[in-house]
Amino acid sequence: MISPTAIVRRVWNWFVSRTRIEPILRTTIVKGALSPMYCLGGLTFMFFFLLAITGMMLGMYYKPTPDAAYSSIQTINDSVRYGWLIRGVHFYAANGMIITAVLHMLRVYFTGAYKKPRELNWIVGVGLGAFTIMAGFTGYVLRWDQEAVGAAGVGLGLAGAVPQFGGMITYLIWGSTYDDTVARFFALHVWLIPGLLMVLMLCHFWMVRRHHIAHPL
Amino acid sequence: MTEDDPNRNYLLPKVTRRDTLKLAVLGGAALLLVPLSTIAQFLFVPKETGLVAYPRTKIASTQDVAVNSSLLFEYPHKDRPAILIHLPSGFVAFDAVCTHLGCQIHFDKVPVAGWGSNPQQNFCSCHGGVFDPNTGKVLGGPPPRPLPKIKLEIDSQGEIFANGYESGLPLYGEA
Repeated sequence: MISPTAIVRRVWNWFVSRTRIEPILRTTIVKGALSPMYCLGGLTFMFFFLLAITGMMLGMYYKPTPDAAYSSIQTINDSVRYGWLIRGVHFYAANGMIITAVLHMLRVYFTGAYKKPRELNWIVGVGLGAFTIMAGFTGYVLRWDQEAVGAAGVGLGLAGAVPQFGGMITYLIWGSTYDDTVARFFALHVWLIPGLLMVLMLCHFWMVRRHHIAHPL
Repeated sequence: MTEDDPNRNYLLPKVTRRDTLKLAVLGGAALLLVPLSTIAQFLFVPKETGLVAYPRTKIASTQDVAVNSSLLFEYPHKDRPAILIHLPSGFVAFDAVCTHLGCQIHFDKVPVAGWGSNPQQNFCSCHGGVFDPNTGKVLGGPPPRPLPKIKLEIDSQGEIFANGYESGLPLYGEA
């Protein structure tokens, strides 16, 4: 008889010997980085993971049209089993992701971890922050209640104020009717922005590996 | 117990303390995660309005209920309260369980003292939920959903029958 842990170990060894994944998973970090302050980036990623899972689940019931959007959310909250829980986790994880991303940025700034050779990773991080905020805004508009319609209007005004390109940007994102607006915000929120976030995250993590964790001050 | 322990029984697998603890920790974590699997019910679309058959049941005769008064009955099964209301515009019936926390609602001819003035409403005295007596729509208070409206049929002898629901399903507290 082989013990269950031995079976797991053998499957794992089989996998590792064929993928050579071990050096990617294992890394050494400096002792000073073993602090909660250095967990903020990882927490941001954890929130992103939660948002991806719960977002895919919400997408099974959400209807991206002006007439059906709000009532489909009411269905999720009141009729779908555990719908209130899934939507709640999505909502609070979205807030949590913004909070931990900002704290992570502050940690990197105040420990000087953006300095040479890590400037490019800071730049990618700024992009990640911007797309995270855009994901928050587009998700808020998807609710399509009175508040969200107002918020979309404010965003429309902000985008329209861009010199030269304002009209083009508003037409690209808001379209010509509310039907376009909701469909486009849905596409941005579930496809474009998460896709760009994932690509940038891959760059971000890869660069962390190349540069290693910065020595704390 | 070491490798050359003379008392070792070689017919039994060699299980180290580390193996045992690992199994205990991983097994415990797995047991904690099992209840979470009920969240998978999210993926199964809830039953839609009107797809379930409900029995056609005689409630009362038209002359039993005067205009602006109501009658409690049980529908779609025993001990499930429902309410028949004779409005000036005709008869309506609703599931009489408040969609907030499941108290029984009643029809008010006169305002309830201390609970604001809501004459002619379906009213829940637990937390002040108010429903429209024509449609079952929420007019006030905490209920999140309208009252399920029962489909009525009145035959030539003036007998009133309940026959399923027009709107507002699922029923509160029913699977």
